[in-house]
Amino acid sequence: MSGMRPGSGSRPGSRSGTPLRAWSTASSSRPGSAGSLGTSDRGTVLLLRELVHAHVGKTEGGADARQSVNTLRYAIRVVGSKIGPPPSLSSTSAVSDAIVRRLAKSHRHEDATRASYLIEVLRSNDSLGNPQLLLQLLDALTGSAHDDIYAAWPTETQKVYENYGDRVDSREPKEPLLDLPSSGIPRPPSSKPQQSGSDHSGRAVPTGMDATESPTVPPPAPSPELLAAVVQRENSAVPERVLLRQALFVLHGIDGDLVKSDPTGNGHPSISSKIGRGRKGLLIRVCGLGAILSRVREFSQSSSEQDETSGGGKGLVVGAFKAALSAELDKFFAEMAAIETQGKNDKAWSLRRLTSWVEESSSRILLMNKLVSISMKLKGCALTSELDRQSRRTDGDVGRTARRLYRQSCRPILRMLRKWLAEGVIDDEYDEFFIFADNSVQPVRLWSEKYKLVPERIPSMITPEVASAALIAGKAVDFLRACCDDREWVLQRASKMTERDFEDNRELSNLTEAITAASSEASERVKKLMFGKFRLVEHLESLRSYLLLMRGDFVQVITDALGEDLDKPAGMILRNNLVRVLENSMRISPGENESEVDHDRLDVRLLEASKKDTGWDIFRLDYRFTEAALENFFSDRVMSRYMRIFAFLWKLKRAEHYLRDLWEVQRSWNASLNSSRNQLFLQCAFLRVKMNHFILNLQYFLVYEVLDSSWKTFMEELKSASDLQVLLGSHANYLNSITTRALLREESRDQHERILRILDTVLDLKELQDQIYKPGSGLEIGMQAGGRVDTQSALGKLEKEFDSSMAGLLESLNVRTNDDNLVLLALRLDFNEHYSVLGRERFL
Amino acid sequence: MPREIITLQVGQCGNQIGTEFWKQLCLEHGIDAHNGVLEDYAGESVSDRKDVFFYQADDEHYVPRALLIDLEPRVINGIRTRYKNLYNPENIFVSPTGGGAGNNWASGYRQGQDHEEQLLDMIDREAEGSDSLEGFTLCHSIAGGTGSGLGSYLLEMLNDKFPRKLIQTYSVFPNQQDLSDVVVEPYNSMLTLKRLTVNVDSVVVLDNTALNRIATDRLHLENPTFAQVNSLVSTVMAASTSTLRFPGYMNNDLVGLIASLIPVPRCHFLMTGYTPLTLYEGDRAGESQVRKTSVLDVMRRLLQPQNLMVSVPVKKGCYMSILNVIQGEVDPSQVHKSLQRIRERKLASFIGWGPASIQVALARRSPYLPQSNRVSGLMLANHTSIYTLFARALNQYDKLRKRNAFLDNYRSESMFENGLDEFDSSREVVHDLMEEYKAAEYDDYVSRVMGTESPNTTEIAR
Repeated sequence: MSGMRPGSGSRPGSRSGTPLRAWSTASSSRPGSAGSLGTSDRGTVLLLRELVHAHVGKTEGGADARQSVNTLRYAIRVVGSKIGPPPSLSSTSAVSDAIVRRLAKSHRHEDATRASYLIEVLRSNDSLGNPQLLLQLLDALTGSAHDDIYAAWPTETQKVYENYGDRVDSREPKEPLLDLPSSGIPRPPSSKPQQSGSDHSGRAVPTGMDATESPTVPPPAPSPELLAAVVQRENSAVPERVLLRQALFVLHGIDGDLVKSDPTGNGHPSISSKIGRGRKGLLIRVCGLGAILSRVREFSQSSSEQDETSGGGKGLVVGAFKAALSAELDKFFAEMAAIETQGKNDKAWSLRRLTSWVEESSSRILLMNKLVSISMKLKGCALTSELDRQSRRTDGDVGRTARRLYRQSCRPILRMLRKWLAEGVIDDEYDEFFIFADNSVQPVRLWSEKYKLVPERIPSMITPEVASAALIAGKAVDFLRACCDDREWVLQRASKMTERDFEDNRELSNLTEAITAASSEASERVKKLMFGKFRLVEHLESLRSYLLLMRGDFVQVITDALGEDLDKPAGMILRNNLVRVLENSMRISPGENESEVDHDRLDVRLLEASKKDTGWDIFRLDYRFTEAALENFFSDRVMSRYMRIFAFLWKLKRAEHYLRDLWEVQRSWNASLNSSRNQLFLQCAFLRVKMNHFILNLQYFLVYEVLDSSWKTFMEELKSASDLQVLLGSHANYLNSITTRALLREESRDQHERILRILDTVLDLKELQDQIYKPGSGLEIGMQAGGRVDTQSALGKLEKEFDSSMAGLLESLNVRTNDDNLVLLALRLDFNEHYSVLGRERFL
Repeated sequence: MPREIITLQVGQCGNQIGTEFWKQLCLEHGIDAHNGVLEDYAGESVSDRKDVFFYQADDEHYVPRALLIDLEPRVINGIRTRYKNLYNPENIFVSPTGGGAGNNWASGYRQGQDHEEQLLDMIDREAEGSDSLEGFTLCHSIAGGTGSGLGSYLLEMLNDKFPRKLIQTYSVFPNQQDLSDVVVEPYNSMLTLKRLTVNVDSVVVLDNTALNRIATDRLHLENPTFAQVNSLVSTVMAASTSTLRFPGYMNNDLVGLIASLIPVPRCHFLMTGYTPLTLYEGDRAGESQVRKTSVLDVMRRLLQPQNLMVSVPVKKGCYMSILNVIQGEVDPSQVHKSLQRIRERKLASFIGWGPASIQVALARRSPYLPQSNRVSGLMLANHTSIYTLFARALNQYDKLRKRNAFLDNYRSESMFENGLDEFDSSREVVHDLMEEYKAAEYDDYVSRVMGTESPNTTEIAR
């Protein structure tokens, strides 16, 4: 329960602070008890203080002041305690019976009738929480007007409260005894009627029904003047027939000369003093019902488009609700008309019979009234859900009425749902549907961005799972139309799904069935097109072949063909050149089972270059999609993930390319016999062996343990995927799996950086070896020069760098021994324990 | 753009194993070996690369990138009759005199010189017909006259004319158990070994001793025919090129394969093993008794001496590198487990002076071949014990040379007119090679070879 507020009539600021201070004193002296109401419950305290003042009287100083403080402290303890109600008053009926009996005993028959009516109103209003407790409180307060405040309670209970007062459960200090919204507390008879609507202001989107119900409570208190008049004229007779007519008039919302429902506009009925006391009770009730009926009717006739005062009350659902309400009212007025006719024709027809009819009908009217209040605050799907909830809380005639109103209100939602499922179109002028469409989204991002489920709007007739299925169903249809050029199929299917299908399917199970059927039908179609027309699997294979470099022969061709170009500084790279070479390579090297279409999609992208970059650093292969359907699948985000993996694999390929170069030069040394004993050559050769071994094993690992196994899993998932959403999910998993296992995630940063450092040493070796010998520029350039020793030490340094990076990598791989994946990589990288031995030697 | 490989088959042995190789390749690519026509069952659905080893003639027939070279017509005539329309007739060279080389290396070498222009024309034409020639493969025996002598001449020529192209050989070493009727084999071998050491990037050593042993022991053939033994060789050749012809992510070219197997350029003599062995020779098919083929089984058997195509004591010495080409239905996780087991049980010993391991290449299989085994494997390995072959060759050579026996035929050729220096130089190269391999067995190999250089480098040696 939200924090209590002071009653609207209280003015805490204007009073002296004494009572509050007194309370704080008490609180400091007895923290255990007073602390049970935290400062956040200041409202409660103020309210209690007001109560105490009302009963003890405003006092200044002396014994009265102390009594006031004590009383307040006691009240706080009582409110803060968790104690249950006195067992003797455990049921609502017991309390109400007691009240009515007591009133009757003291010859206040009118009050007794009114009380029982009011109690009825109270009960029908769930927002007030536990009506039983409320009644108890009210009853107790009634008593206290005459007696000492404690005397209203049975003495035993009083003792219990006194005993328990010190043991207030401090764990739940905010739980007061009475779970009452502040505004729900009826005023004592002398106070002014509450200002209705005062509570609406702060609550934009009502989620519960805790707001005030004051409009439903008919002005309860007859004015003192009226009471006096009643005493004077109780015997002056008015003919029953006249009264009956007057009553019916009032029910119709028309004031008669004797009975006026609300002449002063302040909610007080005015009943002619000619009417006897016995009938007055009935008439007051009739007045109340009349007022409610007027309100309901007024609401049902109001336009549902113009209500700008609150978030609720607008839209098609409210419109449908109003229409349904009108129908119910029509029925009601027809019944009244029948009574009227009967009353005219049948002399014996009496006010008593009207009474019994009113008895029967009042709960229905009260229900309608309550639903009206709800629909003023809610709209759309949320309103239907609430109407559903309300209808489930009642049974019998009232329940049936509620059910009818609910069903009728659902119609607009069902219509929208049907249109959505059949045509993939959301026709939702008033923002009522549980799926939100952003029509500004381009078709290429339709699937992921255009439609969103609005969780709080999901109507109670379907579960969130079914709502998701509904989202996919309509989205798939829109996708088929907007992205797959499949209008014909959509139209054909839509024509088969007539409106009736859905309106009859208002029961949960049928609706669920209809939605899931529509969803799987549309999803099957999407899948069929994606796999067939759009060749999704072939594209995935192409991406794997080219962007993930799995087609080694092709990659080799382009690294060979582009190598020289790519070695240049990035600034000198011309994209056109690369594209031309790539196209050449494609032309010469078609995979035999691939069509030309895929080759057109392959493109070169150059990243923005920074100073030190070479062509290798900025080169990216790209794969283009021109079909909206595929662009939805391969979104920019997805493609950037491919790019990230490509960047890493490309670095490896670059190192591999250089190692090949290194070897090609080294093998030519063999022809010159002397060179086999040349230390520089051997240094280069041995370093190449190490690097080659590393790259080879890393690549094997990436291909078979990472790319291949992720792909296999992905293909398995693809086979069983039920809809596009699942397909997208599997694809994301696939990329995740690669990213994780290829050590490209943030948590593998350490390993990744070590790998990159090792790859850099390959580049360094290439540079050094080029200094020693470059094919075509004569043997042993670097040999005669004085730079020979420098080159030697540079090679030695490079080897040390490689060894230490390698040692670091192996160590960090072996640390995470719980990861099979990494253990395997470590096993491969140091299969003959060369590095382990090296490490041990260094350690010794 | 294929990385084409041109095959030169030289001499009787070279042409025989070459022919078996092409037969096997035709089978694997669905090509009719008699005329080069694509078989009806061979569709476009198989992403193989026929263009590495074949080109398409104007009539779409597949033609092997092969040069058939011999100095006497017998073998080649046989091939011509049998595979009438497969080979390009322009690619066949038979010496016009047709007298062969008479088991004389020097004669073969000289005849190479004699026909240099014609041979170079053939090679050039074939090389020009390639988009991106990767290199040459030469099949021959090292002990006869043509394969060894003419082969040696061709190797030098290729090395000279195509310095940037890879040169690989499949070299058949003579049987050392039976006494050969060719007494000068040790001379021929020594002279050829020099070229294999100096002019070649990678030599796949096939040892007749081991081939015969495998045919009798593993395939249970009492008197294996040449064709049967040769088909063992072709199996190995086909398997070792399978990653080039059925490409995957890695090992798609010869350089890639070889570069990882050869740590120092001189040590480029590779041994092979294959399991399980099956021969497709009509009803005379021999089959080894291998039934169960898991990845681990295959990888373990490949390390066993009886499955090696070379007779060397692999239990001594150590591996510098191993590449296992595994074909068939293989789950990569099985490879992982196998590697773990092999390391746990120390089934293979490796060099200590650098990182070394069993590389595994998972190769696709031809869809056109009947497969009786789930998994098959080829091992290409660089093992230090290969030096025992050189030691034996040196030993036999020295025995002959000591007596200066049978040298007249050599002296009559131009190369040896002015002395036998070439013999001595060859012996020195082979001896150095042997020593290099021996040295590589030791953990301090690197510091050893680094230390043997000129004094000014020792000061910064580690």
